[in-house]
Parts: sequence; C-alpha cells; structure tokens
Amino acid sequence: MNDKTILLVEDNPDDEELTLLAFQQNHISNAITVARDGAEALDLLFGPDGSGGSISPAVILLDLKLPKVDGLEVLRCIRADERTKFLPVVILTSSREDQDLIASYSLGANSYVRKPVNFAEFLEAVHQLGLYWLLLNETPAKKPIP
Amino acid sequence: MATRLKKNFDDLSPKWRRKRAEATLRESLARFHAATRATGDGFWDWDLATNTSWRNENYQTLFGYSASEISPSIVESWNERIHPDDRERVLSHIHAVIDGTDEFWTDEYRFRRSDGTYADVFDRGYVLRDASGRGMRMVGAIQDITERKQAQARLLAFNAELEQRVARRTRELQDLNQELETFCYSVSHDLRAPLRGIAGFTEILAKNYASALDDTAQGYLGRVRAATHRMGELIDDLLKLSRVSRDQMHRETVDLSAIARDVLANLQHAAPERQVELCIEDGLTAKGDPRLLRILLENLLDNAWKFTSKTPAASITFTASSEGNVPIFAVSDNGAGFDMRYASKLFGPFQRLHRATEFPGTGIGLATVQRIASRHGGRIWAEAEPGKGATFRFSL
Repeated sequence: MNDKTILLVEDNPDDEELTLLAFQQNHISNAITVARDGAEALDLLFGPDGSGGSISPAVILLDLKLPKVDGLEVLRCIRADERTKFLPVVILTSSREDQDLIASYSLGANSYVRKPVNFAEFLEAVHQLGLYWLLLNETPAKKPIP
Repeated sequence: MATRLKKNFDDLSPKWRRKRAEATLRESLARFHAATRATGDGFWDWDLATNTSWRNENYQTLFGYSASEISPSIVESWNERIHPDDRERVLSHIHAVIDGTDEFWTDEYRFRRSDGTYADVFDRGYVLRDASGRGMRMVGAIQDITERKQAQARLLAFNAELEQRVARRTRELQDLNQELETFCYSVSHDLRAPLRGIAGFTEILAKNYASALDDTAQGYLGRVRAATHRMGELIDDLLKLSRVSRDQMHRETVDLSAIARDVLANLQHAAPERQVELCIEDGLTAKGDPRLLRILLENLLDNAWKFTSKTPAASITFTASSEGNVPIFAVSDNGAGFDMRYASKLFGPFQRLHRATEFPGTGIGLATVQRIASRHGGRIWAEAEPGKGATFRFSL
C-alpha cells in the first residue's frame, strides 16, 4: 500500500502467523515488525533507555494480554510520551469484556477490534484495518524529538 | 306511729350512709390491692409539697427492700437508688413534667435493688394539679422490665450476629462471583485463542492447499471447520449466559410488544422467504431490565422461529394473561414442539431436545431465559406436544 510500518504486538505465535497471513492475503505489503511482549514493544518504540526507538510505525496493533508489560500499560506509555501520543493504536484482542473495552478507550485507544474465530471474518477485519489506518487516516505531522 | 317510724329512719340514716360508704371504700381498696397484685407493679403516691411518698408492698418483692428500708422521703427511697448515670436525666425529665403542663410522665432507667444490683425499670406517673396548675401530687407505678430488656438485648445480639453472618456469606458469594468473572474472562480469552489457531490454519489449508488434498482429506477438513465453528458458538453462548447472571440490573418500564415486533422483524429480514403468521398483543409492558428482557424475548422468539421452520402455515403469538395480580406472558408457536416427558430438562444449560441435524442450537438459550426470569423474581414454564407446537409462559 505504501511504505508505512506496522507494529504488531502479539505473544501467541499462531495469532502472529495468522495476522501476517491475513495481511499477505489482503495484499498489504507494508513492513510489519512483531513484538512478542509489552516490554519488547516499548523497547522498539522508545529504546531500552528511553532515548529513542528503532521504529516509528504508522499504526500499532496491540494485544491486551501480554507477558511482562500488558497491553493497557503499553498503551498508557504510548499516550504519556510526547513522541507517540498521536500514534494510532488499534487494540486487537480476544476479549470482548466491557471492562477491557472501556479501559482501552479511556486510555486513548483509537479502535478496538475483537479477533474473530472465523478466519474469513478475520481477513475482512484486517482488510478494513489496513485500508483505514494505512491509507485513509491522517495523523498530525511528527513532532521532532527535542 | 308513722311519725315515730320516720324519726327512727332519720336517726338511722347517717349510720346507714356511713356503713354504705365504708363498704364501698372496702370494696374499692380490695379492688386496688387485687389490681396491684395482678400487675406486680410498684405503686407510688408522691406528695410534691412535702416531698414524701407512699409505696405499696410490691416495692419489697420487686427490689428486695424491707418495709423499714422504704423511707417516706422521696430522696432516700427513690432519687438515691436511681443509677448514677441515669439520675440526672431522669430527675430533670420528671421535674420538667411537674413544672410544665403535661399530665403524664414516663421513663426508663436503672434502679438499685437491695443487693446492689440494678433492675431495668419502666416508670410512669400522673400529675395532679391545683386550680392554678401547680403540681400537688404525683401518682404512678414502676415496673421491672429487666427480663424484657435482656431478651431485647439477646435479640439485638442475635440480629447483629445474623447480620455478621449475612455479611460473611455475602463476602463469600462476592468472592465466588469474582472468581466466576475471572473464569469467564479466561474462557473468553484463553479458550478462544487456540480455537482461532485451529480455525485459521484449517481455513488456509482448505483454501491454499486444496489441490494437495484428496476428497476424503477435504471432507475431514470440513468436519474440523464445522466442529470449530460449533465450539466458537458454544463459548460465545456460555459467556452470554454468565453475563446474564452477573450484569447489574436497571429496572424500568419496558415495552415488551415493541421488542417482540422488533425481534421478529429482524428474523423475517434474515429469512425473507419464510411466511409466518405473527400475532403480537399490543401494549404489553413489564418492569425490568430492558437489555435482559430483550435477550429473553430474543431467545424465545428465535426458538419459535426456528422450530416452525418446517411447519407449513407457521404461526407465532406473543400474548399476556394474568394469574391473580401477576401478569403471565406467553410465546406460542405451532412448530415442532417436544415431548412433555423431557420438560424438566428444558432449562438446563446444554440440554437439547432435538438433534443438531434437525434444528441447530447450543442448548443455552432457555437456560439464559430462565436466569433472566428468575433475576426478575419470576419464573418460566412450558407446555408442548410433539408436532403441535410449544407455549412458553413466563412471569417477571
């Protein structure tokens, strides 16, 4: 679609593979970086010492239940940091619990998608996500890191 | 002769009258003693001018004082025997009544017995006033209510203990509920994740590797996919059922007729080819949680819709009647029905009376309906006959 990077934060290897397959089948060829837990995601975004990350993705697909640092905490860090506070974050999770939905939106998630069991539905969901967040959505110009 | 008789009568008359009066007095005194014995109260008569009092013998039996210990001095026989912690309050109250205009005084306080222990007493009196309204005399009765007080205290203690017990049970239940919620959360998340793996990879196998698989292998893949789909439905329904049981209720007046019409319109929209005669009574309302009541009607009407799918001239009705003052709602259909021998199994989770190949379903719907009815303080029951249809009645 374009050269924007996607950060996928997902600890389940099956879900990771299926998400990558779904992107592939939807002909979304953007670079996808995968973080397997919340700490790795924060390292990628901010660097191990917080001085600066190695990637600046156009959108983050974030699972909630993650080892080490959970998804909501990752979201909180992203929103608290000047460099990433406008970064689109899509919660991609198995949970349909209201408490997770409310917590996610309260912390500033841009969107909440429940992973469907059915792969065809999942393909469609990924298609919509790619279309919206990679093509249609505009975010404010990146702030220079002071 | 007549004059003499009359004179004698006049002579006798005062004597006779005195005798008469004495008899009346004796009778009234006897009645008074009988009354004091009957009540067991300590009677008192207090001369406010001299501050002396008369007390009947019940004082001795009630509090153990000998006759000599009951001084005519009100201060000695009464004031000083009031519990020091109660004394000021009792005295200021009784004097306020005497100095005021009220006729009656009552109070409860602790009164010292001869052995030094205290009795709980209920005391009340009546103020007699002169023409100017000044209190001259006060007459009353004191009653020992120690036992009643103790019983009351025991009752209070028992109540407090009961409340503690209820609080403990409630806490235990809350903990259990919390556990259940955690359990549901992991069912929602953890059970779904592997299922998604199975479903996703079989889908990809079927789609991208179809040429590498023979018909038998493809058939097996189809079975895996169907089973996965069913398991997904079961997990979803189970979660719905648990949510019905634990979500907060918000009671308001709910238009059940409108919900029924809406639900059936959706069903008709999803299956436009079906011709079902619908009869929904207008203006059926109930007090309850609108979201839960919608789920209840959705399940019953879904069932009616499903079980009439093989019935020519299918019909579904939603009506109400009343039993005493309780409205009873009914969803009826003329569909497949069921054998009443299995009616007791109808509302258990995962219980099905039809084969999945006849009518699809997870067996959670009616369990959900029953929980919703019972959360509203109502119940649900059914009547049916195989091939003739079913009627589900519920109260809320």
